[in-house]
Amino acid sequence: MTEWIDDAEASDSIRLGFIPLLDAAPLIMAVEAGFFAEEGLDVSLHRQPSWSSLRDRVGVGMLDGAQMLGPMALAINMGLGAPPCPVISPMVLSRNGNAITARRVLYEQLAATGFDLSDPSEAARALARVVASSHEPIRLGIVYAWSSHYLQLLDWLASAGLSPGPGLELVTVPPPEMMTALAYGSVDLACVGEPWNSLMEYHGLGQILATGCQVWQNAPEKVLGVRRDWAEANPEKLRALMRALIRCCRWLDDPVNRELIHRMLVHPNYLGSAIEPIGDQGQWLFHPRVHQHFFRQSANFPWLSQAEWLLSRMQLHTQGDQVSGVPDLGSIVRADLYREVAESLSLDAPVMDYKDEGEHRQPFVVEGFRGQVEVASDALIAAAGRG
Amino acid sequence: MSADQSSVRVMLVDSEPERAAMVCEALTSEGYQVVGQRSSARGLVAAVAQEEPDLVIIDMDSPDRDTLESMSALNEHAPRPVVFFASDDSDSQTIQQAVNAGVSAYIVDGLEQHRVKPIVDVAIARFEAFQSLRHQLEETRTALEDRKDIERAKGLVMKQKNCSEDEAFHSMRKLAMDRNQKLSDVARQLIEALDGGKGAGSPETMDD
Repeated sequence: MTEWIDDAEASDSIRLGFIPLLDAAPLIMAVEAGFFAEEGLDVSLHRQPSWSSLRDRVGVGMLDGAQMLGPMALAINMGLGAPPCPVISPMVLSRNGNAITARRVLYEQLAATGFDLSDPSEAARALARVVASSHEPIRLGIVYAWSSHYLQLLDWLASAGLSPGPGLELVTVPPPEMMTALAYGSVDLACVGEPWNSLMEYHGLGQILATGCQVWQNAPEKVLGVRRDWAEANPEKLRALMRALIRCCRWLDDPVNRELIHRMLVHPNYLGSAIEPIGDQGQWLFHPRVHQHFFRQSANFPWLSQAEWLLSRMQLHTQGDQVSGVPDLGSIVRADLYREVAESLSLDAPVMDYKDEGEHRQPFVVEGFRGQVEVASDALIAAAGRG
Repeated sequence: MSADQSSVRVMLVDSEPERAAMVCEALTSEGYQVVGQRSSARGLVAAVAQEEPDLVIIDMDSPDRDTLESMSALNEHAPRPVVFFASDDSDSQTIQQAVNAGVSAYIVDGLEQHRVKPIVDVAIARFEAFQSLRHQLEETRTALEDRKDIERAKGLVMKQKNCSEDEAFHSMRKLAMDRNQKLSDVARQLIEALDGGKGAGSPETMDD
């Protein structure tokens, strides 16, 4: 949206940016279902045309905060790609939500290899086989390099010893154009966030080959990022904002509310009519294979170990040369603040900041400050030759 | 100085062709070379390879910005985002201004920072000028619409009350003052109340 409210008008309201994806639901529904209002907050949402513009508008203070990609909340503090802006990230807004969708023709070729495509490593090996025998390069569409979906894609490829190169070209495409790109074959595989995979399947353009959840189980996808100066000037508002968002996330996980969520997201100010076909009349809104969720199993808790893991992936993959000077993660990822707010809602939260990432294939329990807390599984796909 | 400028090649990506033309004209008149003007970043990789710009200016509302930034993370010859390091106050002010105006810029291959700023400044000035032009246009349009609605409501009131034009106008103005509303808003409410069922352009009410 291009229209900007005057500064004078904005003095009291909290200005938050979002990108029209399914996991913008916590912000959108906190406005539309009244969670912000119940906390006495006046929040204005500003839809952004790109992650770059969202980051820049937070960077100069046109926005107080935003729904951010996990890696972005770190990158913005480190000044990667833009002047550094101190931002804190006190909670996770959603987990999972990405997938890799194969164009129909390619999916058939992959199935013909005989590999079990329901297993992500086998699916990647099938791709390696097709790449090796193909005369044309296979084109991989991604949306944005500083994102979880891109890092997950590289880890998925690595599980079969693949990496982008001459036979496997990376193409960047804005999400709304991904569907057209897949339809016309300018990309063969699309790695993108929801709702785009569901929509590509719905329109018969392709089929989900692997999901982000199969690569990094229950990884933090979108997080709340707010400017540190705003957070320091508005400590009570920040806590109220988090309370509203946690309560909204719990509400989002209740299947009873799906129809209302769909009805709101389809509004032209949010995701628009493109998402009409999903979540309607027996169609799911949240694809069962993607396992997108917002609250259950301590989804909102900002693990420092997960921020460390994200940082290590950013360093490992192409952005490595640009990622230097490890930031003080504890001052960005504010697990302490999350615990305080959870307590005020009579919710429990883990007492520790770190867990052994990648070690849990099943949900497990950790110590909370009231009792035991359930945490989602966190297994990670193994690189080729490892396990 | 002008020889220095003419060696700088600028590519423009802007979905607003009129605005792009304004920026292009301003840059050209300052002696810069505009080597391509595009409405989207589609095919930009190839265009950058072919035209070899030193700087790409792209409108902030273009979804293609992420494409561009990803290119720069994935490909060393692709444009890299311009970062004015905020060591200098005027630089951080430029960033602020650029974001406010909706300008973003990417350097392709090592153009020096001090040569970037004047170009970005030109783009900012044109983007701002374009914005204020559009504001004026909108204001004019709103004013026109307001006047049309007021005229129409006046006609309806005259018919309803069987009164003169002046009387109708005065009663509307009184209503607006009593309700602490704008005259145009009162006019629209009257149209809705007196003529609710009919389409906006029904010939009967357009006569006056």
